[in-house]
Amino acid sequence: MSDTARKEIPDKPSIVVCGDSFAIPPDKDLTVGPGLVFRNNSVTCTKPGVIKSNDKSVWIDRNNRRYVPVLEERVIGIIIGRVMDEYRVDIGGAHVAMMSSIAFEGATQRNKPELKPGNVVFARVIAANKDVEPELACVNKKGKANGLQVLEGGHIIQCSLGLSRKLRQHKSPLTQPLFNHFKSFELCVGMNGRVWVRSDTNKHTVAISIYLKRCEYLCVADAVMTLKQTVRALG
Amino acid sequence: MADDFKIAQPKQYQRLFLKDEIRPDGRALTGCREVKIHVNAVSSALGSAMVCYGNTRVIAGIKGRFAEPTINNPNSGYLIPNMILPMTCNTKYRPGYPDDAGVAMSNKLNTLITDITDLMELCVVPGKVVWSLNLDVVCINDDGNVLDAAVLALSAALNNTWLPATRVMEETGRVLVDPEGERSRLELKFIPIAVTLSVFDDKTLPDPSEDEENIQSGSVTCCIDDQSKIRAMWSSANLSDDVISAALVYVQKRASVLLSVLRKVSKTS
Amino acid sequence: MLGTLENSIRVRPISSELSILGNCDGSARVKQGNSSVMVGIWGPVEVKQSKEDPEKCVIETTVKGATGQGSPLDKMYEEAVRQTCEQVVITSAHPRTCIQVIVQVESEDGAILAVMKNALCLALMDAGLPMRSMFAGVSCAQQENEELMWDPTAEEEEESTAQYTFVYENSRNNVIYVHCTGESTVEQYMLALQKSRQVATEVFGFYRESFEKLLRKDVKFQMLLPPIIKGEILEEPE
Repeated sequence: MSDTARKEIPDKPSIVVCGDSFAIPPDKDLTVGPGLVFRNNSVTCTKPGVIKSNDKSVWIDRNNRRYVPVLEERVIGIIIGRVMDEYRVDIGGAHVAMMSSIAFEGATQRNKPELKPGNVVFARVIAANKDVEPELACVNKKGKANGLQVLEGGHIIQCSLGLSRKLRQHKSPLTQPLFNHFKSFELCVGMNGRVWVRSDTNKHTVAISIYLKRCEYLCVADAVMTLKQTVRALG
Repeated sequence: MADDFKIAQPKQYQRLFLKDEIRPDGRALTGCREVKIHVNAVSSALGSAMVCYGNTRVIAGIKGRFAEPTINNPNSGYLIPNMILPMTCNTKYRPGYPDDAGVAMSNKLNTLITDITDLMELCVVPGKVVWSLNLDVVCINDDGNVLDAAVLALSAALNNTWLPATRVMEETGRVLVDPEGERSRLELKFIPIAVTLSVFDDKTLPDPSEDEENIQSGSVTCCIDDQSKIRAMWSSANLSDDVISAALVYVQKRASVLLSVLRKVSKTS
Repeated sequence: MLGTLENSIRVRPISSELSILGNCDGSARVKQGNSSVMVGIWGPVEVKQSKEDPEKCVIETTVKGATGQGSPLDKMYEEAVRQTCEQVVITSAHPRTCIQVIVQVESEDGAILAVMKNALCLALMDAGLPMRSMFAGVSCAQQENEELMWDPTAEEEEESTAQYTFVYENSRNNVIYVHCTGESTVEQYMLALQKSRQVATEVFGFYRESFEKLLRKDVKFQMLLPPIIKGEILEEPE
């Protein structure tokens, strides 16, 4: 094996490329996360990115564009059709996801929301396996909506998965300027790189959309300035 | 039962055999299938050969016609190889457009025979008429390792190609084939032989059958000529230098065997 | 860049651009001298039912030449690109899907197969597809005086007696693809194979630099959310 195999996992986030491997002490109990493969007491990177670790797990952080469904993630899906009692939902992955038509809070066989192609839902991935089609639901494990719902009106923008993860952070430095600037608007970020925006006026919706798209290439320090520029440009 | 296992778990099936140093069709690990060469299989062609590698059967035919030379090379003729994989030779080929595998193989044959003969020898009337040789290679049955069989068939056919004598009509300047004149043999600078090794796990298996091709992790094809020089090599397998040099030693040995078979057939014809 | 090679080995300057196409999942452009290739990758995406494989993802490749017109050589390049992808991409990670690879040759001046492979590797990594290792393509041409010339131009390729293209991977330093034409002896071949590995090592260093440039921004952004790792699902507070 090459001499890189003897390296330890770095403490600070650092950049790795495919084929880099790091030794793991045999007595350490570590969860190996995305982008890494465990083999012969060492982990090998399978994609380039930033390796990060805490005392429980190690993973590679990488801004991808193509969504691969993961269990329990919140995604924004677009209904594209209906088969029997199930909706076919496009979530931007390799396969179309299925969602039961009664997977809503309080829905019964008689009383359930009727969705048409083009409707947008904010849903939870309840089955994600590489060998079967992903499955969605608009309720959490206890049968409550808890924010999961059909999204009406508004505007959807497509962004990278990395940006949507940044936006989904609690008190993300990228969304904070929005809260300070606009009085009322709604924002819903799916892990699949889709962001849904709705506000009182179309002008505000457009401004927020443009700002979020710009966030893709933004340093955190420039966020407030960029938002101001965007709003000013729209008049 | 064994058939079900083979279909469900082809790789495990192969591994069970390889553990006992034998391959599913009864060959040793470095064993090859029986090779048969039949030259002048097509009487209407200038030269032809049929080659069998076990059940794989490939036929090569060479047809000559007169053509105009290019302005840049007024005295050189053409060699145009064409590999045809018809849908009847294996279920994996689809009707309609020529298969991508066939086009890729034609390219490989083309690079292999670029320098095989002096193209100047194909000149009939300098600057006006040259021979254009169509080298058609047709796969009759694909049971793996078609490329090796195609190269061998092409080599055998080219090695037994006789160009008819020509005469020029004085009044019109047209060129005609002279059936009474003495035919001339196409002189080859070298005879290429291709040997393919299929890589499965950490083993290199020569002359893969179709079942082995479907599960291989990669393959190495090396073309060696009669002066044991490497003429071409196409490899798509994860190999260390040691494995490659061991493979080259094997390829040289195997090529000399095939070459002696080819020579014997050519002499008797 | 590319400064630590043996004196006898000279290569043209290599440059790259990553994530240049907005609609692709991964894209890259690599220039070596006057040869330039752009690669775009979509994947994993849905696959045609007839091509679906229940155990691995299918790799579909398209190669477009610099002139825009199809040439029979393109089919051979397509096969070469596909074979290399299948060697390094962990295809079992996304079964029943398809990875589409489009290779566009922008200008052709020798060593085109190696440039293609380098652009392909960067694009695959940019798309974040799971790979066993990186790979680097190295072209070299053997002159009539038996000297080897790395990264040849079209003119140098024309004059040479043998042309080699090797692709190396970086986990075990093995060779995963060879395309060799022309006339050479076994000794000459092995020499070229061993010496070209030095160039590949340099190219791997170049890949790392390219990604360090691209990802520098991401290192600064402290990601507070750890990803959801299978087995320990994070419960959302009620």
